[in-house]
Amino acid sequence: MLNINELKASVEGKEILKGINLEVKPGEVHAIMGPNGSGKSTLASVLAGREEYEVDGGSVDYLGNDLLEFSPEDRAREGIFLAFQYPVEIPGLSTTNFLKAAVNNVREYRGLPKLDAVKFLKLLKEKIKLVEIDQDLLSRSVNEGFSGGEKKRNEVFQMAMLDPKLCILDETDSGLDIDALKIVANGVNSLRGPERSFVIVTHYQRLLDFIEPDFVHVLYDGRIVKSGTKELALELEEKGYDWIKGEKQEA
Amino acid sequence: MGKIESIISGINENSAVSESLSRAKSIGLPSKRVEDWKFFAVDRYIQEVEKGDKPACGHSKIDFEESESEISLELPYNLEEEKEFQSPDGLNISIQVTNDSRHALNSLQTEEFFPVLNHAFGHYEVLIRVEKNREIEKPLRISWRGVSGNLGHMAIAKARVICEDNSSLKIIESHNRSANDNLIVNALFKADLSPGAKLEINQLQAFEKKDLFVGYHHITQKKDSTFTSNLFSLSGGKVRNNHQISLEESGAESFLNGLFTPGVGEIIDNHTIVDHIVPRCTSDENYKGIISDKGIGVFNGKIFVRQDAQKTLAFQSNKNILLGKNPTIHTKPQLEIWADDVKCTHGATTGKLDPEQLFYLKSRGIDENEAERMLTRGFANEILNKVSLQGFRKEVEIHLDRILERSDD
Repeated sequence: MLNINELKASVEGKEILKGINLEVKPGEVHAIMGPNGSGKSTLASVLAGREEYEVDGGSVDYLGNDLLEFSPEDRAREGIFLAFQYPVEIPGLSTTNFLKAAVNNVREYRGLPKLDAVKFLKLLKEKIKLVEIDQDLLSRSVNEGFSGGEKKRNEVFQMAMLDPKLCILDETDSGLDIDALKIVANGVNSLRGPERSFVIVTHYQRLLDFIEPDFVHVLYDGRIVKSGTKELALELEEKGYDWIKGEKQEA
Repeated sequence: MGKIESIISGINENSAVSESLSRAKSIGLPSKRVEDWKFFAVDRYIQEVEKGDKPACGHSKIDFEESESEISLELPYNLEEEKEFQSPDGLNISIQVTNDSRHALNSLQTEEFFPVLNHAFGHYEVLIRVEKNREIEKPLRISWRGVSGNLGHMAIAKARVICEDNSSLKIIESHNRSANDNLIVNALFKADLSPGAKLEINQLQAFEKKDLFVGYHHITQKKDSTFTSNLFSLSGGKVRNNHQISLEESGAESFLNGLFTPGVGEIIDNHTIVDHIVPRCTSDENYKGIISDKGIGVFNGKIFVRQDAQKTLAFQSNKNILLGKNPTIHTKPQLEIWADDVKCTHGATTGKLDPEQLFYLKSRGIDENEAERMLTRGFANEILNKVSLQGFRKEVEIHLDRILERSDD
């Protein structure tokens, strides 16, 4: 599904990704861990098409296409979903209107008929159950005045609405208490399936207690320096990132 | 002075105008050298208007109607006959001769060129009186359509509202032009709010590209009265809006909300003055500009808090977003305070659409143009949300959406 090959990227002239290699097959859940500043969020942003990141080399193949050629909106329409680390507030735009535009843009691209008000509302009500969001939030402006937990749940809710193939979660666990974390994780788990893959970027192992990954990769200084199964995450938790840093320096 | 002659060229001689006219002449056309007019080149705009066709002269119909949802008065600029209308209980609406005595002229209390000229040529005015303790539920719509009389390009609109004690009225005022001729619209709207009165004025301005509009709203407020202005200045050639509010007795409240959206070849210039003369009055002003392409927006807001006006609450904000190529905004929020026990804030911000917000929408599959439009609408919604009349809000939204779609191209 996703094949990243020697991907290099920089922001404002500073090289951050120094050659990333990663393959994600349909249905797999990959966790990307690493210390602060290692390039985890940059990787998520580059995949989603954030414009301030410059791709300096390498390639990203997504379902047989060159992902880097797609605009951010076409990536979303092709099935890539980024759950933001810091979802932005948009005063004056209601969550419902925003989602309706998003769903119908995506459907149109995929050759599906647009949803009318009734069908849209039905979909909304069905998906909102996944993340236990209060329906009142839908009439409020996007993320405005939402608590940290509500913002992250709203991200997972949007994920459910847009029916993506590849979900990238950028530090979705940051700023969540344990209850909110469980709700978010349950939402994600209910979206898992044989055709849908996940790349979960996280600093801590905590989220992986609830969303069990198939593979764990450690990103350090712009490269994946270690890959393994979920046991690697536990080992990291125990030994800390200094363990990786130390190994890296020895090598 | 030559410009004044040209404004009045083609006007029938009428001795009654002479005094106001000579005063207008002595004041002279506002020049760009004057601080308050430095972005609005009246001279040049008048010349441009005069290159175009003159409006067809003659009588235009006056229509008055009460429907389920509103009371509607459609009338032409340059009124030239007296009339009484059969309005609902508690509301008196008529068209009356403007008293052109020296007293009436002095009562204008203005040294501004356009209101004085309005007085010179506005022989008739719409007079609205809301009787004591009457709350008029249906909004009153005043639409200026067509032109009567023979004033060349000049189109005079003149209205006066008297709100007696504890009365309440909502007005929809629209200048909605669709003719091919070009006008210099000179509008003067006065309102006096007695103790406890409530008045709301909702304005929709949609002029033609070549029109010049200069409008004045002079409002005086007595004890515990509430005035609200929702101004939507959406399109037009050269538009100058002046609001002047005098808070003359304690407990008066004034809310000024504005949205202006100049595009290519348009300038929308907003000047407001809120004068806190006495203690314990409140004013809250919110103007937002969406300026696209070569459009020019101006916001100049003055708040005066006089020495006696202790316990004043005065707030003022102007926020602008700039879209497309070469938009311009001149903003000048001003606060002059002579009292020492007051709470006042003012500020202005100007920027482009937030790239983070834009990316967020695009990352959900939303087309770039649509995303920009949604964010711009979101920006405008803060002002739209101030409107209590839902029908009016719809009208404004239809207009606004048309304008925002246009600026995509």
